[in-house]
Amino acid sequence: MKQRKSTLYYFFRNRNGVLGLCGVALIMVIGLVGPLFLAKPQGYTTDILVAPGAAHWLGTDSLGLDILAELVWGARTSLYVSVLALLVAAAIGLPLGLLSGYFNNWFSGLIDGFIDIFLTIPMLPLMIIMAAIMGANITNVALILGIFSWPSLARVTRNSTLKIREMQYIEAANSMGLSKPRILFRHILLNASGPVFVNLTLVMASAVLSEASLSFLGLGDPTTWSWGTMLKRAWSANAVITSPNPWWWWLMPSLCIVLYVVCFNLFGMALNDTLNPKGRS
Amino acid sequence: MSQLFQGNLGTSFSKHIPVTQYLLERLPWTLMLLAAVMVLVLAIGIPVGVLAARKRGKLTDRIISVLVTLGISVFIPFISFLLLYVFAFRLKILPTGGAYTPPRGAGLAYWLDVGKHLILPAIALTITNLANAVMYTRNSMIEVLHEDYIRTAYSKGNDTKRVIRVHALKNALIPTVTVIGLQIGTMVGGAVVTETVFSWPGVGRLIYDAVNALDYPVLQGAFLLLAVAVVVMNFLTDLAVAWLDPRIRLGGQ
Repeated sequence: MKQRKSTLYYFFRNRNGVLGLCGVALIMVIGLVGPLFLAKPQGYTTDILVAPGAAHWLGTDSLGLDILAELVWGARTSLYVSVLALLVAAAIGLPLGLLSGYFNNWFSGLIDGFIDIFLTIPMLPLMIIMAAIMGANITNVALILGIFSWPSLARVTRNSTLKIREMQYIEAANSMGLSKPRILFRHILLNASGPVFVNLTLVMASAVLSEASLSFLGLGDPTTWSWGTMLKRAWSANAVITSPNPWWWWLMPSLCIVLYVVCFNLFGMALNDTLNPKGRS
Repeated sequence: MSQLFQGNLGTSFSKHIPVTQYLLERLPWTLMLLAAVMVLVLAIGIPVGVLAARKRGKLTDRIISVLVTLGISVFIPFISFLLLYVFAFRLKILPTGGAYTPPRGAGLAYWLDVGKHLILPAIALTITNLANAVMYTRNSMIEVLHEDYIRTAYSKGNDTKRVIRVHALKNALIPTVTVIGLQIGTMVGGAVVTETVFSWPGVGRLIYDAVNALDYPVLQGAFLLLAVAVVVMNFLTDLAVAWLDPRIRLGGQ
């Protein structure tokens, strides 16, 4: 218990990390609670391209829909995508990383080679093709992102497992006759949690970036709002270079994406510094 | 398979031209963009990384590391939109997209025109890669500066400039070169978003068009090209690293 307390203590001493955590929490609250207050923007109205003001806090787009409502619904999509991608990546990456790190045989060599291949190929073009084949659907997009994020997680888990496997307490656990699953999950995974958590925050940040890129290229879900879809529509309407310029239309979703990713990165970096005792100062 | 080795990748569904010809038309544009990006990244990233390492913990280093965090988190369409808004829409000094102004000219005027069109996509692509280059240079430079041979170099009476340039930099560059090499390799086919935003007629834009047209032979060809590019860049990176550090030997012995 003492260890956990001091970890929290060190985390809250890191100003950037607290800032990131607050940002992440804020986005989660907005994404979860916001849609209850703001109706889903649908159809069209006559208030086309209204500048930010009292009626529409962040203005409207070319269909006369409220940008703020779109952003809030987009936050929900981003959360959904990043959490689902995280779960898929964890479900594949953690067991494979643990197994290939703990058992040193032909199977772990195979997994390692597989991870290598996955880490070398450029992700975005492959994701684009898979999204095009599987069809534009937000769950499909999340699944694809998860499938493409597990290799780095498996690599991190594997490297930590390789190190921890040689520790004396694992030897002790073995000699006490504990079962293999218990050793793997209770003794190894728990002690590898530092780098694993850091990697998971990166998975969430990059899932949002990739989802936005896919939606921006027109491979997102046309029936739900996402920040990438908003950007795609603004871009298709030449919003960036028309005059008078509806800057709120393209700037707001971009800022949301950047803030989301920056917050997760700050949080992850602080976590890295805190969970790695060498980084504490 | 035998057709493949003869350079026949099939015919595009949407353009009705051989895929090989289609790819070869687009490839030089992407390579041009990448060359510009690589020059910018190396020319700016390495000095800035070294500066951050030397001023470690001071204000300069902090500012640089904030910028690096932003650079890593940046979303390419966002930075592209900002660049378009400022330089193409507000200041009206650079074109909004494409690779040249339509009636294709010739000679120096044509190349100047292409150069003008190249600036914005090159900057947009440089920013993310630059952040990585700065981070890796800084971190490995900090490590190298602690090595014994750096102290030896100082004690032999070399001034700081010479120690950094000759003794430290060559060793510190190894991770930077590796990372940049791998990134460039994946970008030969991977600059899809940037090329789409700026209508740059490269391989990335080709992939975007091919996906929208469900043009499978073209996609297949583009992926073959991508795979080859990654392998070739890995090989070139290995060569560069071996040149930087003669202790790393390629192949046995």
